[in-house]
Amino acid sequence: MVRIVRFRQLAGHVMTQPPQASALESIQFTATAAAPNAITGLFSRKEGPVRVANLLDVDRRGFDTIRGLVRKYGPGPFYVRVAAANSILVTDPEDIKFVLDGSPEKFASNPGKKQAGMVVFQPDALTLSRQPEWAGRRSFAEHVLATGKPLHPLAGRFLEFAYDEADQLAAKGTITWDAINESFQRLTRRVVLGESAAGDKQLTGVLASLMAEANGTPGKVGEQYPELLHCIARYTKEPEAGSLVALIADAPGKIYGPIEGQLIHWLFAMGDTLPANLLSTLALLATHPVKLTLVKEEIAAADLSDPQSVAKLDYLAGCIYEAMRLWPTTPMLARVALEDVTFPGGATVPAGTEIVIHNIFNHRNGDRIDYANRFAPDEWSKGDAGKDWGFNFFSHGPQGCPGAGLSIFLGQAVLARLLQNHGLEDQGSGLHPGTPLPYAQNYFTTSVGLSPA
Amino acid sequence: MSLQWYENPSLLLQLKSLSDERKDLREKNLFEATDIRPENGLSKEAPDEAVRARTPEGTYDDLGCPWMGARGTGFGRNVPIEKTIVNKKRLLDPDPRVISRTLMARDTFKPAGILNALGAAWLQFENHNWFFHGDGDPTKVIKIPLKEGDDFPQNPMEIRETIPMNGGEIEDGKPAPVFANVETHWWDGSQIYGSGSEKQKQIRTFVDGKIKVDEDGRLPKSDVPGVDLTGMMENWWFGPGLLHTLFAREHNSVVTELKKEYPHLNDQRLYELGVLVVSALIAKIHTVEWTTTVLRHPALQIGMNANWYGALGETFKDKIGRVGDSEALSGIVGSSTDHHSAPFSLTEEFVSVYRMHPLIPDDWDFYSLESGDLKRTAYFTEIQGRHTREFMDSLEMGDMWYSIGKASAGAVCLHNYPNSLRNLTRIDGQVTDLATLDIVRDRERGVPRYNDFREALRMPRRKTFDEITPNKQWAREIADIYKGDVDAVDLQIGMQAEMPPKGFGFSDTAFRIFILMASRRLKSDRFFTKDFRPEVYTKVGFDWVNNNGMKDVLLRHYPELEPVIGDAERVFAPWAELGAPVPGKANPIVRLADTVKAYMPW
Repeated sequence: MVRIVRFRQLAGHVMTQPPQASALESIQFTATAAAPNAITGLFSRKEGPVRVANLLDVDRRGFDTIRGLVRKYGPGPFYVRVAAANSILVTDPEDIKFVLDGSPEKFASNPGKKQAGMVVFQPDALTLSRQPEWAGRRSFAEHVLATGKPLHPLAGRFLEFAYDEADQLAAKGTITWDAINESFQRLTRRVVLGESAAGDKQLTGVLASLMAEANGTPGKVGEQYPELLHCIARYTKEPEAGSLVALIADAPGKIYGPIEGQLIHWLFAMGDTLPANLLSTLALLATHPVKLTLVKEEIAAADLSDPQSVAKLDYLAGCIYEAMRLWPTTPMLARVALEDVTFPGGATVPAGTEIVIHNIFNHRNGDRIDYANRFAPDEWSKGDAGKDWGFNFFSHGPQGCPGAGLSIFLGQAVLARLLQNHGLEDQGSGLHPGTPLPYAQNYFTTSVGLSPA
Repeated sequence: MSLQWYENPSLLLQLKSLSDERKDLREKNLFEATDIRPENGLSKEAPDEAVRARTPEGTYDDLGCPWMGARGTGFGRNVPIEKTIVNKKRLLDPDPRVISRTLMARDTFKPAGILNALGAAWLQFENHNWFFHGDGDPTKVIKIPLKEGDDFPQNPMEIRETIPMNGGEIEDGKPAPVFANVETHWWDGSQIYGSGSEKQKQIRTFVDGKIKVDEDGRLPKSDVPGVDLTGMMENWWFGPGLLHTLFAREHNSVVTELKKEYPHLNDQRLYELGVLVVSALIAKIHTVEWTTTVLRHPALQIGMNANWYGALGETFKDKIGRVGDSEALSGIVGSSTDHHSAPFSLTEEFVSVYRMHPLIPDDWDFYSLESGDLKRTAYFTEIQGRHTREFMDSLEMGDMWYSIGKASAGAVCLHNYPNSLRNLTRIDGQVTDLATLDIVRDRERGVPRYNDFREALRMPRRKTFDEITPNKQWAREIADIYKGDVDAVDLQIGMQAEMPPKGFGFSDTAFRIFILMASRRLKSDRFFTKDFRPEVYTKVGFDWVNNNGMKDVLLRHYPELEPVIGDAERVFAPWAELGAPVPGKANPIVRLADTVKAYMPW
């Protein structure tokens, strides 16, 4: 295929075509940095393949491949073929900001694979939406999730739920993936749908099976999707006070489709993604005694009965951010250029180009960040990490995660309660403060013991 | 998970599996709390009349533990005591009245096909023999606020609490306290004779061992409006009315025969012997006739007969007698007494699995036994409670027997709970929804919910609603009521949603308790085991039990039933239309039932 390269003159910019990684490099990229992501499950992580990937040190090899490419062609955007599609890899924070700030106007967030997968379980998702749906759905989500507010209006109630779940979890003595996942699925149902949803494993089960189906990116709405909406509607029909569904009635924004379709993302982000990150956080703290002491001191000084005080546990939040940075559960973000676009450095790509923001690489890019491979909560509580557009576990810009604040608050609450009353015992995580942290952390097999405080 | 018993490929393996299952249940599912029965107050040395016959209080059946099974002692458990935790916060969660309205209320009558309405009445007749938790205390009630649009006549609906046996309260988060059985636990005909000597005095004539039956062959009226004078007078309607009358008359026939053969016996001896014979006959009819009709699986046809007669069969045992002491070969009856892993008592779980109210039809047709013509129709509320006696006096006994025998019982399944019982005004004025009550009672008494119950019986937990029932519509309705929490499903709902094994009139879950307890009622009772012998029953009494069945009893007292049951193989299956059956051939309903194609709401 002959690529038509267009040169145009814009005010103050010289239009250039981004460099292109070679065919061999592209194959390498696809094999080491893109394919493993698909094999381990794009939407629902599969335990077996994840274990194999870890054994083969796949993430490190992917990292090395990208670093080689970035050193050769970067730091500006450059082309690399991902399987058949020629995509633009963006690694420079300024370029990332350009892409994410320009979403969803210039860059749509529903490139092929993502659309083909997510449509199975959330065809009306905000994250897949383009205009005009996006604006209505976004303002709805921001209202209900209290995006950007220092504290969610229902934080007091959520704190009770979180402590209750933390206590039940603590009673198990050892925190495994299954245990923390179950706790957070229940916590999520209570927070989003209300206390009466606490036991609704059916709903969670239907969502899980749809998400597993999505891994095959079939490109059509799942057969069980109406069932999922039906399950959620049990709680939207008679919204329970003190839960997120109770805030729906007053929410602005035109939804285009069933309201239940807007809640699905929250259910898995809070029920699956958050606990995966928290388990990694616990593994980090269990292996970093000095930092654990600092967290415990911060918690001891706080009034845990006060939601504001919990939300201000900045060092603890930094620990959670670090787990998300070190082992992002979203390995890459992808966008599609909706028009011909020119990056700040002058590189121009035509409409329809896929843009890849590779979180695993960006988060560990030692050429930019000196704490790339160590556990550095201070960088968030005291430093500038929070301002770095290179870290995109919550994304950034208009499409930044609208539930980021709420999820960090729930994470702070559960961890604070656990750490207030317990010490941690590492159970073979292999993490060590003196050695660079591995590129992958298999949360399926991670477990952390609790000891008396 | 290993195969369920009915999944075994051959009848022999099914029987083996059932036998192993029962052994397992006997070892692992018999429990009792402390203080279930007094330790003192009765002399260790049994008085002579307690050795030779059943006592009115149910004492001294076990001579080594005289209180065992007595009236007023507590119910045991089939699940470990620590699994009987009462969750008071969830007593009304999900709302039991909503469950009654949306999952249980009968939409259309779903007939059982294999069992007639007489079989439904029979079960209640038997339950009245076995257990009653008492009337409660009008000042201690559970209040259930009604949802908007619910037209139940009382808001909030009130249900009387069950009162613990040894004082105190039902406490949240703790195992349920012991509740007492107002009846004796034994299979001793206490529904006919009453539990306790005070009650029995009211029933007896004190002449030649007879009990009170009026000149016209009907029971005397009692002080309770509409209700006959008999041993157990609760929940009265014409079905139990017929059966109580029948067996009161049977008692008098037995003692008349005994008096003829043994003229020296006094009133007390004759009465005692009548009680022994009639209660054994009822137990036999229940085991080999009622049960084999409602559990029409080939393995049960053999298994239940084996309970009574043993694997060697009726003929062999009648001719040769027992072979050794083997329960398997010669049956439980006449074998040695054995309580297995706990002293005998009926259990709360046994009470729960026998909540089979869907068996009762709402709409009744009454036919003339003489002409076959429809004489009248009635709604259930018109033939029960205070209306019972007046109604029964308006028809010939033969008409009522014919009509109840001809009618099908309801299938024990969801959406088949009699609406008449869901809005029932009792004689004392209480308005009750028995469906709501059935749900609340299990929760209140710490009977585990469906999945926990199954687990305690080593049956697989159901992970999804579709695993509970093959009926997709039901699965969805249950999931909505229980908000997607399969572990919250109540025992009653799970059992009524389950598809029973082939030919079964009730669920396999209920059946597990049944195979344990049905045989235990025989195996623990001295008068069905080592004292089931002519020396104790007399030769006449012993033969009476061995030589009679339900049809014999019916035809002895109501010979006019000959045209409708003369050819019947099963008295508890729907009877033939008057004049309809081709001689030698069963009527179509019975034929259908025997093919086990009936009773398929799934």
